[in-house]
Amino acid sequence: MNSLWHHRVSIITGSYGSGKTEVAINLSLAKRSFYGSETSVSLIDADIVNLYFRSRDKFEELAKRGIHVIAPAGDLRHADLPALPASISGSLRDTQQQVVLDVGGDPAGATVLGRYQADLPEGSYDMILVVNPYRPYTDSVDAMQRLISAIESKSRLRITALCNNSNLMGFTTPEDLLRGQDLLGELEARTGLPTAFVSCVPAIAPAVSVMLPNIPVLPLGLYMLPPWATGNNYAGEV
Amino acid sequence: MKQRVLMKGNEAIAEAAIRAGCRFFFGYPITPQNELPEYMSRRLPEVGGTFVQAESEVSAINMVYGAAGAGARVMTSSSSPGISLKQEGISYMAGAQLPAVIVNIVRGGPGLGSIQPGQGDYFQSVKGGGHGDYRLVVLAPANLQEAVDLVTEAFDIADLYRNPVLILGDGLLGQMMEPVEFRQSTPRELPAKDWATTGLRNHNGHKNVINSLVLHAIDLEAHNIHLQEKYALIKVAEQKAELLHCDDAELVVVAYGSTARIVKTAIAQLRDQGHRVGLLRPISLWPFPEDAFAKVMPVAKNFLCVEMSAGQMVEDVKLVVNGARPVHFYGRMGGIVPTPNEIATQVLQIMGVK
Repeated sequence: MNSLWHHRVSIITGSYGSGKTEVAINLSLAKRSFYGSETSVSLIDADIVNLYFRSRDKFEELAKRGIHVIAPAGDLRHADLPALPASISGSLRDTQQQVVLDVGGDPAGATVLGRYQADLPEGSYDMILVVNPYRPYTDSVDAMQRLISAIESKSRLRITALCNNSNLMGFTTPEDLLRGQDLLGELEARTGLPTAFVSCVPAIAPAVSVMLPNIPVLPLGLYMLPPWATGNNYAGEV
Repeated sequence: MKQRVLMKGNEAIAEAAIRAGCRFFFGYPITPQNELPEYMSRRLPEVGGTFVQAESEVSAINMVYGAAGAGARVMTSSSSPGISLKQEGISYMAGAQLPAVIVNIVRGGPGLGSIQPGQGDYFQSVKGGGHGDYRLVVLAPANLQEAVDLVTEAFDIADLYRNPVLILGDGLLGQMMEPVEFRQSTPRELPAKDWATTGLRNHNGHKNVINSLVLHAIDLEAHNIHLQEKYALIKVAEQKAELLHCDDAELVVVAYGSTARIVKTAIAQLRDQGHRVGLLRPISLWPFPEDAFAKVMPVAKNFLCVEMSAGQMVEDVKLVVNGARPVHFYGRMGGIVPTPNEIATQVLQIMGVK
C-alpha cells in the first residue's frame, strides 16, 4: 500500500466545487504509477449532479495514461440524467482492480453511493472527504461536520479520512493550506477523522511539505481547465 | 481566512444579488443554471428572504412582476428555453416599467438544444424577445468578479430607470469556478419607489396601479414615447466596454462573455508574435457600446466578431462600423467552445499572414 490510500477502493466525496474531480484523477494516476501494468486502475465518474468539468471529459487523455474511465456512454455522456453503467458494480467487486470513485458533490451527489452499499462493506474502502474551506458552506468546522453527517446519511457509508484541498485556484499560497489544516485539525479532534493527504498544485507542493511535514502531499496536475487557460495559467488573460 | 471566496458562477451571481438587497427569488430549475436557485433556496431564508420554486417559468416571471410591483428587489434566473417561456412576462414588466434582474445562463439551441454553453440568445436578449417596442439593459460578464460587480450594479440600473435588466451569461460562466470578492460598491442615488403598490396608508388615498394595458391609442403612444425617451437616456449613459491593446490594433476582435476570454488568450499569443491585434469587448450588449467603436476606428483596418453562435452580435458590429471597414465573423455552435488557436488562425488569415 501507499501513504495516500489504505484500501483498493478510494471514494472521493465532498461538497460541490471542493475539487473532488481533480483529486480523483490525480489519485488514480498515483495508483497507476504505484502498481505494475498487470493491475487495472479504474476511475468511476459517478457524478450525476454536475454537468461541466467531469472526469469523463478527459476520457481519451486518461485512457492513454492507463486509466480505465467508467462513465455513461454515448449520448448519455453529455446528458444530465441519473443514469450509471452496470460496470460500476463490476469494478467495485473485482478484488484485482484498483478503483477511484469520483462522486457528485454534496449529499445530493453522494446519494448515488447508497445503491452500491452492498458492494462496499465497511473496512473495504477509503472514503475521503475533500474539503476546501474557501468555499461557501464548508468554511467552518461546524459546517464541515454538518456536511459529513449529511453525506454519510445519504451514502449509507462512513467517511474514513479527510483531504485538505484548501485553494483559491491560481491565488493559492502554502499559507492557505496551513490555515485550512488548522480547521481540519479541529475537525479531527471532534470526529477522529485524520487528514489522509493535502492536495495542491506541484509549484507549491515542496513548500507545503515543509509546513505540514507529517501529512502526505498529492501534487495536482490540473485537468479541469477552462478553454482560455494556458499551461498553469488558469485565468488566462483576465 | 481571506476575503476572497472560491465560487461557482451561478453561486456568485446569487450571493451578489443577496448582497445587493435582493430578498425575493422565483424560479424553475433548468440546466446549466440550477446552482443559482439552489443557492438562493439555501441562502434567502438565512437573510429573511423568500424563495419560491414556481410550477413553471411563466409563473416565476409573473411572481417577479408582483414582487417588483410591490417595490421589492427581486430576481429570477433560467437558461435559454426557460427564458423563452418568460418572454411574455418580461414584455409586461417592460411595459409596466418594473425593475428586476433576470439571469440567462445560455445553453446550446435552438429548441431544447444541449446543456453545453452557447451565445445563441443574443438576438432574443437585445432585440426584444417578447412583443412590443421595449428594451432590456443587457449586461454580459466575462469573469466571475465582473459577474458579481455587474449583478450589484444591475439592481441599481433597474431601479434607476424602472426597467428590467438582463444578465447574459453562458453555461461555462455559470459552471466555472473563480475566487471572488464581495466588495462594497458605491450605490447610485436612486429615486424613491413612490409608484410601488405598497398599500394606501402613506399615499393620502392615492392609488398606485401597476399595469401595462393602455386601451386608448393616444395614451398608449404617449406611453411608448416615454419609454423611448427613457431608452435614449440609457443609450447615452449605460454603455460599457473593455478595450484591450486597441491603441495600435490593425485588427480588432469583437467578442463578449466567455468567448472574449478565449480571444484574450489568442491575442496574447498573437501579440507575442508581433501582430497588432486588439479586443473590443462589449460588456453592455444593450445599449451596444458604440462609443468604444469610435475610439478604435482610426487605427483599425479590420474587425473580426467571434461568437458561440451562427453570428448575431456581428449584425450590431456591422451597423456601428457602417461599411467603413470589413467586418468578418467566426463562430461555433451547438455547445462547441472555440479554442484560442482556432481564433488565432482566423486572425492571421484576415491579416494575410501565412
